[in-house]
Amino acid sequence: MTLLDAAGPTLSLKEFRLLRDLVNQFCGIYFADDSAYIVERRLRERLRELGIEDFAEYYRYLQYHPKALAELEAAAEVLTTNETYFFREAYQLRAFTDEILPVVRGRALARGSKRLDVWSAGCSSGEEVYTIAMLVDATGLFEGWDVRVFGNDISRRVLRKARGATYRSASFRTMIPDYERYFIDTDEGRQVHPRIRSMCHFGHLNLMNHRRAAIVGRVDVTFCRNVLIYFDDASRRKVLDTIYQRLHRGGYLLLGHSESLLHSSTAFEIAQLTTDIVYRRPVPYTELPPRSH
Amino acid sequence: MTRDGLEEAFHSADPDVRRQAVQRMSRRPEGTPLTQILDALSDPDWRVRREAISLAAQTRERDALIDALMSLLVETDNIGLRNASIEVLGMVAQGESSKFVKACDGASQGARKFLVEAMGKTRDPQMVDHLESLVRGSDANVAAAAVEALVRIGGARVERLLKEQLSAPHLFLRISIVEGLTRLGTRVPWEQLGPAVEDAIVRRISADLLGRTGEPQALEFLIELTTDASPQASSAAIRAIAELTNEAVAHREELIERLSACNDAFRHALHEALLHGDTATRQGAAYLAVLCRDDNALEAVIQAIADDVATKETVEALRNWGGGLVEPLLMQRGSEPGVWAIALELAAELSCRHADQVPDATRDRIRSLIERELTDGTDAVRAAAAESLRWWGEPRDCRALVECLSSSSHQVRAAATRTLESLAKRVPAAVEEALEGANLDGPGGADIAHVLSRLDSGRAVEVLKRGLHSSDPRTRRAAVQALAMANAAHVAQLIGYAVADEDIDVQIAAVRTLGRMRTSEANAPLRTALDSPFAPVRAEAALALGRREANSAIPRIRALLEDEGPVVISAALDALAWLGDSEVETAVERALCHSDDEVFQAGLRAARTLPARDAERFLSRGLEHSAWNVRMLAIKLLLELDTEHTRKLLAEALVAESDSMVRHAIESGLRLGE
Repeated sequence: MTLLDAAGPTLSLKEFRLLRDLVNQFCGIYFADDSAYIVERRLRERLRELGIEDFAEYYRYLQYHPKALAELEAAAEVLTTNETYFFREAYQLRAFTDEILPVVRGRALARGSKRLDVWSAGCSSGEEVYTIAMLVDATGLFEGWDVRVFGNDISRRVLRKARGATYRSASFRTMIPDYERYFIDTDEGRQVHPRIRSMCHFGHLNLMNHRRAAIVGRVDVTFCRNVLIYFDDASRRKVLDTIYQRLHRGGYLLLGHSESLLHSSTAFEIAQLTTDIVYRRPVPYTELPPRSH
Repeated sequence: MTRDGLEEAFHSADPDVRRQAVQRMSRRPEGTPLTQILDALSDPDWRVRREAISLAAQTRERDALIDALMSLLVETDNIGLRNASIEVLGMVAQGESSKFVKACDGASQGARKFLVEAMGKTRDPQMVDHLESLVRGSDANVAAAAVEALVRIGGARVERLLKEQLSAPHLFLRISIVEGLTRLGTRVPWEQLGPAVEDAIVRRISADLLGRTGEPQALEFLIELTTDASPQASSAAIRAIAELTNEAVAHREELIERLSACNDAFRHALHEALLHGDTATRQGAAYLAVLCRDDNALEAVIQAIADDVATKETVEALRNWGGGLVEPLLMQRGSEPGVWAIALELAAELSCRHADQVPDATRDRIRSLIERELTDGTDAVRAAAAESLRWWGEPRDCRALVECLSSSSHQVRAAATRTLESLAKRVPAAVEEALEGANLDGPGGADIAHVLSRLDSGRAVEVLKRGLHSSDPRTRRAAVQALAMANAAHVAQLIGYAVADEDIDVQIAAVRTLGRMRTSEANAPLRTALDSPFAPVRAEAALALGRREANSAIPRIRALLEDEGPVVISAALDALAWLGDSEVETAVERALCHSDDEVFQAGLRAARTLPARDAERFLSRGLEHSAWNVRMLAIKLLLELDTEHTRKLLAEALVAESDSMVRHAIESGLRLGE
């Protein structure tokens, strides 16, 4: 059976560990031993595509073949989890609109700029990117500004969906009624309004590729929610270094509700907001406003 | 930065500057004075303290640092400094149990807890003696802290001790022990756990332990917990029931019967868990819903399969449901395409496996649904319909299946290929007729080639030969592979041309295919391939010639030992070992000094072909390799030799081995040889 249990070559524990390490080095994702079954199921598709008979040969392909890098991308594509939806973790989004955006606006104006840059690192099929753009738009704080929300992912498939901006019911499980106005009904599903789409940009980017991440430019806020939970410690540190470099001083990092930087990075400081705790790239002490008494 | 600059930064008012200063201090070759480390550990900013912890772990004044931190733990009220001190002691105070005992003796009850926490963080089994005495002591708070510390250290002795203490008089302590045993993954026998869970508070946190007992008595407690107001307790209970049902093989029927008779509250909890639980909870809930034959939960169960959440056991349990599941499956037709696809595929399978339980009208309905979805369905559903024809397929379906081979969806093409391959065995003439005129240049060219290879026919071979001219390299590669599978005669030269194909994967397939052919016509193109500009092609050619026992190729293969590609050296060494080359020993010596793991492993494989004494000498070097997979290979090969000396080597390696999988390989290998 294909959908139920997929026939094909079996993955030994030894092969699983070798492949897991290769994938981990490439894109930071780490699979525990009990994920071997899922890895086997998902990678069978790649073996078939390449005309490869077993996983040992596939491992050699990933090590030595001239097209190994492209294949690692394809493997990461089938192995990544891409579950997301609009307005996920509403309490954090409230903190973003009510507390972070006004501060960021003030900082940008102080720099003499009317530009807002937000990065959704590991954006999957784009719901978070469009959510951010809708929230920014709804605040009314950035009328006449150049607002850019950039989303990246390692999967080309989800980026195609993100660019299409058309979604079915599963993406709306925590939809906020006030924002329905940003969607247009189509035969394929509900499509994000062109005005919001024009604020959103997407790119194919491996978060482990520090140098390539420079294309993101400097951003005011980075959302990296429920992405690092799939990474091992070393990869997590590497990605956090990249995020740090891409943030303006005083820029914010928002992680998923169960994530913490406590054991991963000391580079960010904690910013205690009314409804959430987020992280911030420190502002030099000399640039801080005087304390009010 | 100069020394003065660093000092200035360390005392900066800006916490980020201080943090960076501490980071830089850890890179100073001369180390950092103890007083400065202690200053950094008491910094008001947590980020500075965290860097200071790493700095302290590198100290050259370890003894003095340990003494200072133990004193601080007893004296300070600074929470940040206290926590940092505990962290550092955990990192540096291994083997210092007597210092901890002394410090504990002189400490207040409050301070003793912090020392105990640090003892646990050392993960040093030497600490167990003192911690055991604290667990048995009169202060329940310190005893609970000692339990936590013991759990961090772990091991069989700790588990035994904690199980014995499950009957401790203090509730607080029993709770700590239950939580600890849960985290350790301990299996507590029902005789020891039963009395402890009589207490409702303890019971509430014991779900995991109850599930691991494998005893049917645990079920009632767990069913009660599924309706607990706390979602965590309810989810844990559902996971635990799934584990219990899976583990208690002898009692499974009895357990399922009891679960099936459960009330609506239990069903509601199960549905909630299926829809909103985390992955492990959804897995457990899906399994239980199927065991209880809860067709109201069917859509959510299938969604879990579509999401790759459900376990193999759940899929198996669905199959065991039998013909009675067919109608509920067909009712999923209005669901999301992913769910309907799985439902259709399973309905098709079950209605064939249990044809006697499914009415003819239902079977007719399935047949017409398959036909309709094969042409009109979304990709997932179309693939499911194609797959279903493995059970239902007849000659008349071949043409529609061949049309599926032109789909742009990989999933649809793969399903149609599998089904046509299976039909090729039953109704080859119909498959061949349907494939007449099939377009090998389309997206499904490679798939058509696969199907053609299953047809034992001259016409199919002629079509496959045409596939060698396809503009799509995937099709050319598949045609090369298919020609070999079809056992076609007189094609060695044609496949030889493919060695000069412009696509590397076609070249590799051609070399590999030629290596499997008996005809001497294959040798010439294989020798040519040894000079390929692509390392994987040179490697495949060496292996192919080695397999063909082409001794005359030895000098050319030896030359590949100087290749710059590790994959080529590794293949050349394998080939030379198969060919029994007289210079293998020298090649092994060099391979075992190579930095690439694959070359090293080829060296080990080649060493195995040498006389036993030499083989032992070389293979033992693999036991010291840093890569676990290399050590695994060395172990396997040494076990094959199985001499007294190799067993001794392996026993020694076991002592130093830290990788659980490698340890297991040695242990089971030595046990089997006994």
